[in-house]
Amino acid sequence: MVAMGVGTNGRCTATTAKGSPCRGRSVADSEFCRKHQPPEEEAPTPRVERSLRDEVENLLKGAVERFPISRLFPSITPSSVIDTFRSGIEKVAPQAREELLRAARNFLMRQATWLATDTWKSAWSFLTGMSDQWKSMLARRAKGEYEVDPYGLDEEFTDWVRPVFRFLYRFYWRVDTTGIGNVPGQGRALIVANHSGVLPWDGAMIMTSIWEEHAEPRYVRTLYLDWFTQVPWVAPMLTRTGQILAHPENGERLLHEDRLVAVFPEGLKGVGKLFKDRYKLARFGRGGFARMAIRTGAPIVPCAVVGAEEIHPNFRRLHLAEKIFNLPIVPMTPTFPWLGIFGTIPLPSKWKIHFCDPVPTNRYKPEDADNFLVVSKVSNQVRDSIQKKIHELLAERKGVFW
Amino acid sequence: MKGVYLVTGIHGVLARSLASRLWSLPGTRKVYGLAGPEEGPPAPKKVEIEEIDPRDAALVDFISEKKVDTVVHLDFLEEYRHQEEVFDRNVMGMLNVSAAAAEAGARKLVLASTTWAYGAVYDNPNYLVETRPMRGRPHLAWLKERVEVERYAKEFVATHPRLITTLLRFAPLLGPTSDSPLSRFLGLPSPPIAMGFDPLLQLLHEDDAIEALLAACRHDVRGAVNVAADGVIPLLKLLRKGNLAYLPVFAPIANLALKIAPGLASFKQIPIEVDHLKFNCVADTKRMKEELKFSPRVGLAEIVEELTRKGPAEALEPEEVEGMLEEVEEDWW
Repeated sequence: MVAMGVGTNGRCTATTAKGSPCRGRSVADSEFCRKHQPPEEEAPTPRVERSLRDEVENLLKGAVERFPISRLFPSITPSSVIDTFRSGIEKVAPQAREELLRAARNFLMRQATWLATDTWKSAWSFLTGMSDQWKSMLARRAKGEYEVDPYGLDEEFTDWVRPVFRFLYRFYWRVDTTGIGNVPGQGRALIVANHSGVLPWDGAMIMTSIWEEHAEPRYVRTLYLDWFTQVPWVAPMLTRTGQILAHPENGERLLHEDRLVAVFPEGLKGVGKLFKDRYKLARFGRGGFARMAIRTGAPIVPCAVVGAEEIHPNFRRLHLAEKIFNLPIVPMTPTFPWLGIFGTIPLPSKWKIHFCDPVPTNRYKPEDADNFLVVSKVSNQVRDSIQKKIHELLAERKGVFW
Repeated sequence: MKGVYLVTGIHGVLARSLASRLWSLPGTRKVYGLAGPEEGPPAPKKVEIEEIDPRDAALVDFISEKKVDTVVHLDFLEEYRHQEEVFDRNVMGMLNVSAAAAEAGARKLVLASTTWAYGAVYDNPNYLVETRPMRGRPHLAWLKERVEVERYAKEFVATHPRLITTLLRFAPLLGPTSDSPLSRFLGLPSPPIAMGFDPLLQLLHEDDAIEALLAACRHDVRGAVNVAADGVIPLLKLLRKGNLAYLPVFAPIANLALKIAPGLASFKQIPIEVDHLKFNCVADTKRMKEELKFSPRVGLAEIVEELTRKGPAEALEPEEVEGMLEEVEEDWW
C-alpha cells in the first residue's frame, strides 16, 4: 500500500510497495508523482440532478402504485422499480444524466414528445438496468448456484415462472375460488380434486389458487402421472416446480413431512373423459388416496373444479394414434389435430374452484388403511361431496365462457 | 474370536484404507487382507496379507484356522464390458466368500454394493427403501454383476440366519482417491447428458464409505442398508458447479451408442447408464441413521466443493494413490 511520506522539494512523497521512498518527480500542484496520484474523488452529484432524480423517483413510485402490475408480478414493487432505474442511470455518462432525467420526468408527467430521442434513451437506460439484473441471475444459475429441496423443488425457478400461472388464473380463466379457509395453512393435508380437460391445467390452477388466495400461501405438491417422467423438458419442469410422481410411497412420505399434497384419483380416466360425460366423475382409482390419508391421519380436503372440462372439449379418443405415438391420450377436439400445435392452446372458459369441508381421517387407526371397507367408505364420501359440489357450481355459473 | 477381521480385495483403495482404519475399533486383535493372484502395492501397516483366491475352497480352512470373526468382502472390479474372468471373480467370488464365512463359523459378513443397483426406473418412488426390488435393466457389466450379487446376497441372508450379514449400498462415491463410475464420468472430456432430463443424484464421500464399513463392523445390522450423504443434487447443477462442459445427447441416440459401444475400441469407457442420466435413483437413508447409527460427516455441499476445487477426478497413477494412502496412515498412527 502507498503511505504518505514527509518532505517535498519536487520529489514524490509516497512510499513504494517495498517500503522505500518513491524517487519519482512530483506532478505540478501535487505532492505525488504520476504513478502515486491519489484516486480521484468522485464529483458530487449536482444539485439539479439530485432534485430531478428525486422527482422522477416519486413519479415512478406513483405510476407503479396506480398500475396493478404487482398483482401479476409480485416481485415488482415501487422500491424494486426505483432500484432498477437507479442502476440503469448509473451507467449513463454524468454529462448526459440531467438531460435523460428531464426526459424521463416529462415522459412520466405525460408531457413527453414521443419523437424526442431523449425519451427513448431514458427508457433504454431503464431496460438495461432490468436486463443486468436478469443477466446476473442467469450467470449465477449457469454456475450451479441454486438450491433444490429433497424433492427437486427450485424456489427461484418457480418464482420466475409463476407470472405465467398468475396470468392464466387471473385473466385467462378468471378463476373464482371459494372455501379456501378449508385448506389448512400448516400441517399435513390431502387435497382430492376432480380431473378433466386433457392437459392437467387444473392441477396448476389449484396450486396457483393456494398461492394467490390463501392467508398462508404454501407449495402444493401435486402427484402426477408417472408417464410424464419420461417426457423430456416436461419432467424436470414438473420436478422444479414441486410436483411429484404419483406413487403411494411418495404421497405417504410427503404427508408424514406435514406437507400439502394434491391428488387426482380419477387419473387418466378423468382427463380422458369425453365431452358428453364431462361433469360425471370417473372411478376414483383403487382408493389409494384414502389409504394414504388414513395411514398418515391427514385430513382430506375435497376440491371441486368446474371449467377445466371445457378447455379442450374431447369428442373422441383417437386410440390408434395413442398406440402409434405411445401417448396416454390423443383427443379429437374442435381445434386439436386440425390446428396442429395451436390446437393445444386451451379455450378461455370460466373456472370455479371450491374447497369443501375437510373429511377427517384421524378417527381411524393406521391399520385401517388395509381394510378395504373403511377405505372405500372414505373414498365414496369424498367422491360424493365433490360430485355434489360440481353440480352446485354449475348451477351458479352463468355460462361456459363468462 | 472377536476382533479378528478379514478384508478381501485388499489391493483396492477402499479395502486398504479400511484395513488400516480397522485398528481404530475397540478390541481389534488381528487384521488379515485377502489378495488375489495379481500383484499389488505392499501391505498397509499391521495388516497381514494372505494370497488366497477368493474363489478358492481353501478359504474355509483359513477362516476357521485363524478364527476370523468378521469377513468384509470388498473384492469387486468395476468393468464396463463383460469379461468372463471378471464375472467369475465378482459373482463366483462373492458366492464362495459368503459360503466359506458361513461354513467356517464366522460371526459376521459385511458386503458392499451400490444404490444404483435399484435401477433408475421412471415410475420408481423418489426415495427407495431397502426392500424395494431391483428393477433396473443395466447394460454395463459391472452393474449387471452388482445386481446379480444383490440377488444372491438376499437369498444368502434368508438361508443363513446364524451369520449376521450386512449389505451396504453406497451412493455414487466421490473423493480425492476414489475411482468410481461417477468420478470417471465426471472425468470425461465432455460428459454426455440426456437432453431434456435433469435427474436428482445422491453422493457419498469415500471417507464416509469407510466410516460406514467401520460402523457395520461395530453394530450388528442384518440385511441391506442404504448409505448416502443427506440431500440431493440435480445432475446439471453438479456439472455446472464442477465447471464441466457437458454434451447434451438425445436420449435414444445415447441408448443406441451404449448398446454398440462395447464393440468399438474408441468407446472403452462409457461409465454410466443412460437411465441414470434420465431418472432419479435416490435411496432412503432412515435405516442407516437408526440401525447402523451412522451419519456421513462430509455433507453434499462439501463433496461438490471438493470436486470444484480439484477439478474433475482423473485416473490416478498407482504411485500417487500409494502416497495418499501413506499420508492417511501416517495421520492415523
